[in-house]
Amino acid sequence: MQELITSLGIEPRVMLINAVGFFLLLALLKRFAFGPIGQVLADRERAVEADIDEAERAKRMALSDERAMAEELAKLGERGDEIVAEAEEKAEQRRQEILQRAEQQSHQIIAEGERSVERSADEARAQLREETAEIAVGISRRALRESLDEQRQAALVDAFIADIERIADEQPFGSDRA
Amino acid sequence: MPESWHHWVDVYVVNSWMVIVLLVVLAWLGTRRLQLRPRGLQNLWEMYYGWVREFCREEIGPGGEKHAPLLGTIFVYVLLLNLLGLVPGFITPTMTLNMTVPLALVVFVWVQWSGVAALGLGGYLMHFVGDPWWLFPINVPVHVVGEIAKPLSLSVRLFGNMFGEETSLVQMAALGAAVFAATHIPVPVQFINVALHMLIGPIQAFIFFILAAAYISMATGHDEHLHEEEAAHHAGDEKHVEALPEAS
Repeated sequence: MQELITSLGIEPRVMLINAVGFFLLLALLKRFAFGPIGQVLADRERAVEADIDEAERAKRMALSDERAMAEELAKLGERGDEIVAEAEEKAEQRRQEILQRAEQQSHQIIAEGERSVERSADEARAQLREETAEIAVGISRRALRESLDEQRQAALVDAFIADIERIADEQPFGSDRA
Repeated sequence: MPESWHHWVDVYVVNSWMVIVLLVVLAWLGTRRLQLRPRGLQNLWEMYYGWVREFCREEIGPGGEKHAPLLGTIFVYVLLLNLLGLVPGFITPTMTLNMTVPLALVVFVWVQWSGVAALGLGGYLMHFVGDPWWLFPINVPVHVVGEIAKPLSLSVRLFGNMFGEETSLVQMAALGAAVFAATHIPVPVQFINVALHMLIGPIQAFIFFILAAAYISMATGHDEHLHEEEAAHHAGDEKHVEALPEAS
């Protein structure tokens, strides 16, 4: 057995040194390579997982925001429709009010105009009456003052009628109303 | 070197310790400024360790990554030891049993320890008894021999391959020298062996690594669970096929 071991070149003490060398290498690689690298890989894995979780959370939030926004938009649309309907109703009311007021005003203006015409006619009538009386008084005076023949009387009557027509032309309301 | 040191340190030890120093320096350079966005050597180490961890998870099962530092060290160490002989002035330390036996023994101890840790001492010992239990007079010796054969096969396979490769390389180089002496024509006949060495070195390192992982998987019971799961899966498939209506 010893011969076999010697012929194979087996040296237990060298084996021990090699074993020690391997354990030392294992410890040093674990210390300087595999430990830190494993840590970095784990950190990166965690970071990637965290990023993915964050992205999923952001996506969920975005979807939720989108839904909320859609609901808000729908509400705003309904509110807008309501506002438009209210505005149309108010505009219609306003239009009716304006029309009603315009009608009232037109009636008032017409009534005022009629009253004004009435007043003017009355004034014209009164003035005509007054002037007719003055003319009659003037003719009477002239007749009394002068001795009138038949031909002269006819001329006076014509002049009287001409005066009346002239006054009637100057006062159209008076003539219409009369 | 004093004469008494030859019992402790030989040329292979010196070469292997150079590899140890090189690996430690590379590890230190690659991880002294670790960043979440890796650069340079950190990339290399991350790729390597990530691959080892993934391999351990797949081969050994859930929790297999706790074996990644050991298996990662074994692969890169054996790989560089195997390739060291290609560098002029260096030799391949794995062409001696003094290097391969300690590595295999480390794996052996680790495997047994992992088995006890995973199954408990009772479960670990029952693993030797086998099934059915009353066949233990046969099963126990068979399993014990099987366990002893594992480090033996690991160490002798690596040693034999690398020793044979290195020896043939030296012989071919000597042949080239002889051809040159006879014809004065330099014929690099050993180049074929160099190319072969570049292929065999990584392959042997990977075999050592993958067998170590397989032994751990078997010792921790994940291997059996995998077989059970596969069997259950197949049984499920068969039931599914039986449940299908027959075509008229």
